[in-house]
Amino acid sequence: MDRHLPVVNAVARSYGLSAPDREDAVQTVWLTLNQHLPRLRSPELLRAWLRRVTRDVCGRQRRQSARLRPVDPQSLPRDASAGAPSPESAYLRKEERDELRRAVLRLTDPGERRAALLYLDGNAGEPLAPDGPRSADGPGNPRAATNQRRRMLRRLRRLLEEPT
Amino acid sequence: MRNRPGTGPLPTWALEGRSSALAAFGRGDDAADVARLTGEATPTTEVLRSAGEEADGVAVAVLRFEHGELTMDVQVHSEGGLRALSGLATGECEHAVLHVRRPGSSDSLRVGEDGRFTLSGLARGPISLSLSRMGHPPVVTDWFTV
Repeated sequence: MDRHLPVVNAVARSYGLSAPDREDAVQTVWLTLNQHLPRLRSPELLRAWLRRVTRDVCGRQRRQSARLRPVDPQSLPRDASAGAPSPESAYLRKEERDELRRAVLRLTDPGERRAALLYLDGNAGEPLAPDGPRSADGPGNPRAATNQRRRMLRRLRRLLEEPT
Repeated sequence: MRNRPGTGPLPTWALEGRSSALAAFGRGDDAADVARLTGEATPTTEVLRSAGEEADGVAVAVLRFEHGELTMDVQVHSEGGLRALSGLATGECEHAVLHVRRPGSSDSLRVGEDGRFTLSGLARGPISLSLSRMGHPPVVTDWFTV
């Protein structure tokens, strides 16, 4: 042990651990050696084995210490999940959407219903969506389409306000 | 030039920890099976707000030890200046008793029916767990530091 103690201490010191952490790590190395001694068959490999175990133990000790080092939260990379909706807001959003869908399905005009469903399902790029419901004045009349869309929204709002 | 053993005086630090190293040697474990450390996961990132006391409950290490069909998953938490362990033993471990081995001391507790166990108020330092099961030789984990 005396022959290898300087090597173990030298490797441990190279990890820059605090003195108590380093002492714990070195003691863990010797406890590990004691545990594995009956299984070690090649004395000439002991030095290399001790180096490896010391590196493993000290590396683990350093990672543990690093986890408890206080840091300024501003200095951390932004958490990718920070902007994601919380489960509560995602649930409320789904409820709103379901309620709107039920109201759309209660629209009596099939054209309005189809246009509203397309819009609701995010298919605003479909041919029907930009103009909203088909206007009696034809698809080429933007003012008529806008008026009709406004009427449809009014009807939808009334349906949503009706007691269920 | 580096001193080789027996060829010159060594710096004082080179022989630090000699007494604790000597104390580590004993032949009590020779009959036991060793559950090797087979996995180390990174605990979930948590941010500490203050530079004062260490935050309680922060997971500092997640370790897995395996021997045959027996697996022991251990999570190390900070508990102020102390440490706590929570773990799960899976495999054949009904009525198992867990011995908590520290240099110079030992303590034991019964593992729950679901294989779970918890330890708190542990001083920092080396630790090893030994699981005694009916009809099996004891299984000791590799030493690790909490």
